[in-house]
Amino acid sequence: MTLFKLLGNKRLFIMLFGLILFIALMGFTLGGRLNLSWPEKFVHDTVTFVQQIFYKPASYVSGFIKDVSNLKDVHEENERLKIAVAQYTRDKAHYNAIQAQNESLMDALKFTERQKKLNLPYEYRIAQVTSINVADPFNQTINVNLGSKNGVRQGMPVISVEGVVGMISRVYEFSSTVQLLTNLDDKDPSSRPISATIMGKEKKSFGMIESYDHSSGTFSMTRIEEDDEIAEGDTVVSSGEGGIFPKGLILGTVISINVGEFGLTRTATVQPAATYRDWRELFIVITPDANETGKEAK
Amino acid sequence: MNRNWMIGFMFILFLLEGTVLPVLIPDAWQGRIVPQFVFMVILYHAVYQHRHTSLLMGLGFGFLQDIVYYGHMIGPHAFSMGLLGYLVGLLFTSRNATLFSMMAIAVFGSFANQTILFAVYSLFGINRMTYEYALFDFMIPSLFVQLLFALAIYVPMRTWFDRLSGKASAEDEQG
Repeated sequence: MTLFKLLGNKRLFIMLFGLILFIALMGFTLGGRLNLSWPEKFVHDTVTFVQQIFYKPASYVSGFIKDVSNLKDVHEENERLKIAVAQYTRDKAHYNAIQAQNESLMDALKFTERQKKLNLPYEYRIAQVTSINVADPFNQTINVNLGSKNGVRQGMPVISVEGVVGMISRVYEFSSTVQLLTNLDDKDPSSRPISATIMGKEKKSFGMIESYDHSSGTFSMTRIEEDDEIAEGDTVVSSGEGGIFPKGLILGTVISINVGEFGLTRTATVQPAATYRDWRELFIVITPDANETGKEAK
Repeated sequence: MNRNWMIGFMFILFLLEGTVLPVLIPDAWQGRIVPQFVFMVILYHAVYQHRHTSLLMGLGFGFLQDIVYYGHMIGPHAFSMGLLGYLVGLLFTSRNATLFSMMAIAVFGSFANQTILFAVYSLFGINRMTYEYALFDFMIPSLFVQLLFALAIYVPMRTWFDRLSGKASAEDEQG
């Protein structure tokens, strides 16, 4: 009898109904959805467009203040860059010769078009940041102003000048959402680990960047074999094995190497290359492979 | 007309939250200060206006936040802001709440909001932090910022609501 009375309470009934509705909605929208509904697209595109108007002047002002305070270091930095440029021009001659040789070898070995495409340098598109999610520490995302109309597809890596920042997680018509690498989690089935290697030791080193530790601000690189030549201070780059994440993107620097969970492999602590603050421009890496899979999914 | 202006103000506040605040927060505190200023305005509405107003505003701005920053799922913010807007309105609605009681509601409200978000993300297996760590890492530091914001908007909000109720009663007398 009391149960019926309780159910007769309209307010309680509506609240319980709302709770069920919300849990269903969260469960439904959880994980990778390829096609978003039009209200989401409309709201996201219009709001990010307006946000861009606010974000641009704010970031310019803060950039200007930072530039003024960095004025002293400019001379020193200039000297350093001059040396670096001299080195690059020397390397460029070497690179050109090797590239020509590589192409002729590819022809001689009758590479298919697809195989040739995989060896091309990637196309980078500059994207302006429109807003940053600071109101939710569990869901660190930023919005950029390029969308599916500009050839962006889900899963493309996003880099800053320093290194990899994240991956495109949702694509709308004129904007897209970037999920930061700080959301990497080895226990979450929807977050994919990144296969990584060491710059300069590509054939002798392999590991997986699997998770991000919030308290220390570092990645952990697991599944490194015992005879691996990894050392402290090495630069970690993506290896491209596994096919999803393209190769040669800078991820971070090795700080320390420890014995892994079961003692059979080793685990390295990696300091991220990107600083995860003060965003202005980011580059979306347009990968030929991601392009093709995106078309297939359509 | 008046309410439309208020919604416009809250929308601009929402925009500033995602664009200007990340620039203003010092580098060392980034990720540790979690400003939810729109939610503070919703709490004001819950206390000085009606609980249904704050429920609708909480749902509306919660969904806006969820859709614009859609990372894992849609719903946590709409759920917690709507629920808290309604509950606070149900428990504490009084036109004459003092500064002190309003600040207490602001602190407990935003604390409850963070806790509900933590619980929802833990329920769906996204969050891996322990509650203790989250508490000291960002919940308590951001409570101070929330409190400061609530203090800053106290006087403008009170005059706004007083003018609103004054107008409404004047219209009643005329009608």
